[in-house]
Amino acid sequence: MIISFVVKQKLRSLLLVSTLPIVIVVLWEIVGRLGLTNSYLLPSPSAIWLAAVELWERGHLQRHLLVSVSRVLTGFSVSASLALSLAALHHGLPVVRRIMSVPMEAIRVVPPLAMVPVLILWLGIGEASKLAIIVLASFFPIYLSARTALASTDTRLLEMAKTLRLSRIEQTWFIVIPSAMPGLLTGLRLGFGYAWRALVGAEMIAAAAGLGYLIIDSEELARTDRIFVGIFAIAATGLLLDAIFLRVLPKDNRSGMLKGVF
Amino acid sequence: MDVIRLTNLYKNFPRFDQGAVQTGNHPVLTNFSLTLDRSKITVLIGRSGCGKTTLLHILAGLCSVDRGSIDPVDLSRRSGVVFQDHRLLPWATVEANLMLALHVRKDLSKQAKRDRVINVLGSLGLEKTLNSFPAELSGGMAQRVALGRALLLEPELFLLDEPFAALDAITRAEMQNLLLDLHISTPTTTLFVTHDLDEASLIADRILVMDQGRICSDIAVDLPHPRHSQDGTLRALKDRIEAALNNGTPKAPFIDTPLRSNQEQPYV
Repeated sequence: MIISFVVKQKLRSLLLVSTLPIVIVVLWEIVGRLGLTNSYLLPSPSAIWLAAVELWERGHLQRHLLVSVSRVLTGFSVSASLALSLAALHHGLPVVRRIMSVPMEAIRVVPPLAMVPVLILWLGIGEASKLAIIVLASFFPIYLSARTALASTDTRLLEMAKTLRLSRIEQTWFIVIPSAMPGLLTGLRLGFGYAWRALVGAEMIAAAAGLGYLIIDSEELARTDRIFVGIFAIAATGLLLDAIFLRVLPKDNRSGMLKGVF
Repeated sequence: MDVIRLTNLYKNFPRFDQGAVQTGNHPVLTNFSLTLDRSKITVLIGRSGCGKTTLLHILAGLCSVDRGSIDPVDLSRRSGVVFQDHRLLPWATVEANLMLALHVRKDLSKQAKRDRVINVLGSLGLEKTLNSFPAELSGGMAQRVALGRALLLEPELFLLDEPFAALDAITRAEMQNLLLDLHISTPTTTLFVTHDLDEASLIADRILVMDQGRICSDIAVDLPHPRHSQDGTLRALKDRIEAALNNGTPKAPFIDTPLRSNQEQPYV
């Protein structure tokens, strides 16, 4: 009885989220088959699917996917480490934050793509310049969320911690970090999204593989169907990685952080 | 610790204009001196902004003094504080919140700490809340846990900053009785800040009326417990406190006018 209720709820939820995409794809297919759109400008879903199958069978799609995912993961790891360290430093030493504030703001408002020519000059056309684009794109969401989260610790809890004679390190571990945890996780998730979105820009720099390269290459070959394969692969992989990210990354395990007191 | 002596304390807070530029200082405590009696409940009563919470924060080590001396110098390390709000970590269970108070006790084993936590919870009637989170507790229960957290520090000075102000009347009365029971079983020097005349007259051994950073009346209360708020002696005591509060600015830095009384010698 209970199981059937749960199954029903899950089916209902699945139906709710999948209805609109299915309707769009069906309408798109009908419009395409009726010849109402130019198949070069907007290939039908079935044509895109066939192009995807062809790329998959040749092993190209997997290769591009693997390269892009590893590129994003590497860039994101560098970005997250830098952003969290700097946010912690700026939280602990506000003077350093004030000294660095103008250059940081200047870098923040410049779109990463505007930096491409300079990055090629500095880092060449290898992997480093592509990673730099991903780092630039994902650094600030993580940094700003972390700084806000750290600064929003309830001062009343810190006062309480002082009356318990906890040292500054203990206050940070038991109060500041657990209190900032939801903000830190949101920042990491946002940063991961930005890293993934910067992929095409990063792979515009003399890349030989990757989903961004697949799109650019397909454009040069006038294969709109393959461009859409690249776009859908980015969207689907982005959604999948976000779901994995939510499951794999440290959960809001603040009570676990207090295990140190047991 | 026989006695706590505060001598000639001065505390100013900076005053800012609308552009956040410091325009001067606002004196909160001026030449403030006080001696707290050992194992007695001293109630500090006064209007908002008179400096009573600042004084408590100074004693708790949350705020420094500009001038003056506190004897013993390590008083803040020997005190336990209960604030108006429970200040329990919302992401931690009652047990973890209480264990945090024992974190500095490196001399105790984990099992010994746990036993103490369970004992304190037992004495507060909260045995069943060990694994509960603060959000699952009522206001009174959460405040009792906060009381337990301060007790675990085994303080020589117990500082309470309007601890029952946010509670309903019935829970407040229960908490006052609980505090008195704890005080009878383990007499600890206590400084209790409140706005409430009833509360002050029900629990105090001594009442200090504070105004503009100075003590304007010092009343010794020599009445047995339990006390009843409708009792004539207590009503007279409340009138006395109210009169002191309404008289306002003190004429001297410290007016030491203890008004002793007992049931045979009422406040009339």
